[in-house]
Amino acid sequence: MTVPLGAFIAVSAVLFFLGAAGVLIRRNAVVILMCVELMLNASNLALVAFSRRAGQLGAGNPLDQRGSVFVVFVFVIAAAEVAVGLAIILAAYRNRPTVNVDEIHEMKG
Amino acid sequence: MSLDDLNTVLPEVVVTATACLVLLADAILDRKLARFWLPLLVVLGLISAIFSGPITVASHTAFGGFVVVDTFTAFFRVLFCILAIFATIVAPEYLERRAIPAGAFYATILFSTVGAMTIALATDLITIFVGLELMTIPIYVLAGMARRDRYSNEAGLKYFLLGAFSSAMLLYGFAWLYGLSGTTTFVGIAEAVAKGGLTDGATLVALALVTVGLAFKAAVVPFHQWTPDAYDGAPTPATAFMSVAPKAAAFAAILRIMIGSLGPLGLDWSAVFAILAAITMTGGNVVALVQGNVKRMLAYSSIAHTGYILAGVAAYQAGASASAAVLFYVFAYGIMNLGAFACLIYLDLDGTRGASLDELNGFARRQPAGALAFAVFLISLTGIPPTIGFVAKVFILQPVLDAGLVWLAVAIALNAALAAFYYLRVVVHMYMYDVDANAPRLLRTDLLSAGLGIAGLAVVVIGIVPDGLYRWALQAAAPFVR
Repeated sequence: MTVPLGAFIAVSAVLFFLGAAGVLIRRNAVVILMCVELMLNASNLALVAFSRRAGQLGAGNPLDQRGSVFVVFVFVIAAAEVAVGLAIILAAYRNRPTVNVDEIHEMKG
Repeated sequence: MSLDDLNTVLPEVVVTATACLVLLADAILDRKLARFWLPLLVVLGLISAIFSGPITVASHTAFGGFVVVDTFTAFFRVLFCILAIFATIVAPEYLERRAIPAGAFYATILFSTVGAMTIALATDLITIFVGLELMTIPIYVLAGMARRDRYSNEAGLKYFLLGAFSSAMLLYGFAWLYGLSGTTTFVGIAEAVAKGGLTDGATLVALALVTVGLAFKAAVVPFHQWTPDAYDGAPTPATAFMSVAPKAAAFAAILRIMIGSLGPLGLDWSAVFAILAAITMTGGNVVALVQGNVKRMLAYSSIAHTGYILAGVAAYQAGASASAAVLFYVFAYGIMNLGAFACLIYLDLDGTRGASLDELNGFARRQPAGALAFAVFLISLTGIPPTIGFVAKVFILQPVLDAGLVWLAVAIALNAALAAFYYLRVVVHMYMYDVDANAPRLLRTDLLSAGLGIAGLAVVVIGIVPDGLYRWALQAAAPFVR
């Protein structure tokens, strides 16, 4: 039995909206970062699912499955993003021990 | 991958190699030598990158259709290298004063430049996404580079969180575009769109996600909230670079995706762009009016300029002249806005941050050359002849009128008049007011003055003879003409 495309897409949509809602609602910078990762992984799931369908429909043309290639690139980018993001959060934490984005608000106007 | 593929992306390879060399030299050389050699190395590397690529070429794809080199690519390659050169020239004295690691700073700018150039190369969703991230991730680092400065921390954090959020939205939009068209290449997506299969709800969601993601990157109202804090808090040379290069790259991406690939859908979409353009220019200008801090004022004014550029995108039914106008404006904006932010470096001394209007009082007497350059940039940003900013506005207005968007042209004209007030107010403070008695002494900044002199001269000279640049922009826009 194969899982239909719709099921994958539904899960990816749910993941994406959970992530987006988390970014908008949560105030902890680290949690926001985790929610962004959730959104990226929702995209990965959708890409892989679409890629599999393209592979089934296409006539064995490997270019149809570029979605799977895309996912590998997204992995690398997400890792770089987390490294930089955590460094920035850490630098801010050293100057002022909080990771609450509402409290990090020096500039006005 | 063949040698021909590598040869196609030679300028990008040169810039990457320069960045690695800078990091290596920074580790080997002692401080006195590094102060002189690092900026020189960066500038030489960027100049050789400009000349290692062709200026006019027939469209040429490489890496199995992942990248394309055409006149559009050539235009943006040169623009990004020029911007990086200026950002490097104005930085050294500031970096030393503020004890920011110079080698890391230059290398980060170079890596970001490679990312921006990759966007101009893109002919595939994968390439464009990798390029966008390669450009923005170093910019997060630049914004937060003054680690001990709270404002810089905040700038980096806010830019990072909203940037990552917008990237994730863009990626989800890309995933849907791929799912709907079955391909990641722009040509394939354009074909699928042209077949008319994309009129259902899912397409609209995908398009909305992509538009919002790109609007965040270009700082379009109402997706601009990160802009003032990120520009205001970042170290000033970093602000100068990040206010121009990522914006130019975002518009390169918008042209490639929205016109190059989704063009066939266009008619309905240009109304959205026109409305966003009007909101953006008005919103940016109105808030800029009430700013007392010049750095923050320039941050809001850069949002307003996004609106003018977006008006050119909205008018793309007018044909090549619209895309050429966007390219010309992006070029003009790059030079004049980078210059305007860089002028604030004179006043960015110990214990100050940005510059309030009062700190600029009598600036013309304290630093005549710097004040003159600043005045030229401000006049150009206002759009008064004989500067590049004036010509750029004229070129934008023409296709907007041709496309029948008369109300948008009126909005641009009204906004230009509104903006004149807050730009010229700075000039008045510099030339008409007396110096405060306890104003801190300015430091020697010969390199900064030299860089600003060249940029100021370019603003005036291209303002008087814009034909060459405009013709080049027209050529560069050719890939988008159907």
